[in-house]
Amino acid sequence: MLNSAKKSFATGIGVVTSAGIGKENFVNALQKGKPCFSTFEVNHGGKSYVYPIAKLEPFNLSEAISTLNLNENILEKVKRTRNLTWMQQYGLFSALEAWSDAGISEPNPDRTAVVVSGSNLQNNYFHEIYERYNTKFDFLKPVYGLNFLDSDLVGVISEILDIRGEGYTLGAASASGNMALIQAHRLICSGEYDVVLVVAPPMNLSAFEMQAFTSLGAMAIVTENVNKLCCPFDETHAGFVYGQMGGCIVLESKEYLSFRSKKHYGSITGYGVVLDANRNPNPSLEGEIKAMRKAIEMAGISPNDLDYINTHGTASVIGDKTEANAIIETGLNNKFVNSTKSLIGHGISSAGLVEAIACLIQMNRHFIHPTANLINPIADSINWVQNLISLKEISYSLNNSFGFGGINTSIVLEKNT
Amino acid sequence: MDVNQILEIIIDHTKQVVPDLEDHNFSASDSLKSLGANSIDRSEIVMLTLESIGVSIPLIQLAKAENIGELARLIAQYQ
Repeated sequence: MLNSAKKSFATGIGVVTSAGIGKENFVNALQKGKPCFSTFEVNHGGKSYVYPIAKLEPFNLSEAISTLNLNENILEKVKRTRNLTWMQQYGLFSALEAWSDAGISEPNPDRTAVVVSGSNLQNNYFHEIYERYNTKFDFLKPVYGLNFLDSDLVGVISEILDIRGEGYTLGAASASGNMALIQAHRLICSGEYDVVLVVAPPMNLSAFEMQAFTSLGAMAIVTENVNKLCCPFDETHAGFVYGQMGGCIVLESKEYLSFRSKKHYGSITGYGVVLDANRNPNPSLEGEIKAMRKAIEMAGISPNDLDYINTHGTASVIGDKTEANAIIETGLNNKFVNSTKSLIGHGISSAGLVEAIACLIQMNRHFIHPTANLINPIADSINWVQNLISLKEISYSLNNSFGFGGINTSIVLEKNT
Repeated sequence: MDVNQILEIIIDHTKQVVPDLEDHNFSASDSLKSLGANSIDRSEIVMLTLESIGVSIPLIQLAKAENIGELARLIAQYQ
């Protein structure tokens, strides 16, 4: 057994999805269990292309944060922060909602860190810059030299919250969100930090990535009823729907938590990260099984103790099949199993973190959300959650996230006790 | 375009980049730095001004301007 005693505690949550801005909108969406997808249309070479999407609604950052419990100094700094891109505005809101939720007042700046999940976060922004400045290159916005870096968000958040420990972005394809949480957990468990903010800003895909995902056979093709398009683990599954979403979890050490006597949502108690030595997008049964087993072993629990699995579950034919088999072979098919992506789409780099938030919400609000459009499951032996379930005690959840390039991650979350 | 017209354009873009200055009573002797515009803001203001006027000047040539009046004069010289 590895370090089963080591835990990091989630004390603050912030989240933005197509269901709305803020945590309560997300709670409602999970309970309601209905997808809210639409379409995105572009023209290239005189031809029209349509993609399915779960869109983030436009919002006003200063209005949105006015309802949060933030001190004057932070509000003033946000007011003075200009030149924020689309990705940065939603990422910053999530960070501030989580910070307000955690209620941290005077952290030691040197013992506070920030990890931003994902790389290649702003391809649609690059596309807009190209369109706007291609024919007036002399006047290219100077601030583009700062904004184009994913890590600009690390600078923004660290300045606003006065974070002076370490900070960076961490990319692991669709497993980025989980991987960022794992890295933050390591930072806490190393004893170097009291508080680590894990921020997953929404990935701003352009039509180029959507077209390429479609060509790879990974993204669903638009049909008449877009809300029936994303069917994880159903016989009719045919690819994922891109979901714009962002989130943040504030993780704290046990010592810091007891010092300020704060209630928490739950803790990270174990994780598994496994590469398949495979550059391609195809999943690996062996890699997924290993990641889940490692996470359970590190948590110091037995598979029997687990109550619930939040799957990677994108609705990709081979991805779903491989994960279902991995769950069966790990002996976890009697656990409650669902897919959050059936409701809010696939956030790519932010998916893992937003789904970890979904785990924490379900554990604390005593329910398991339905998997939308799961009518005829691809494997009968798994305990699929097709309708909303009320469940008094969800002690342990497993959160799976797998990425192109053979990246398998799994995290065990323990409910607050 | 004369210096005063250029100055007005600089002031418009300064208000656009630094909304806090919307109600500020600008004068030619105002320095962008002391008005609270940081280095990024200042480069944005200058670039937006050059774009509005339609003149391309290396930003380094304008760095010596101490205030917005001088900035307007320097830009006018390049037209």
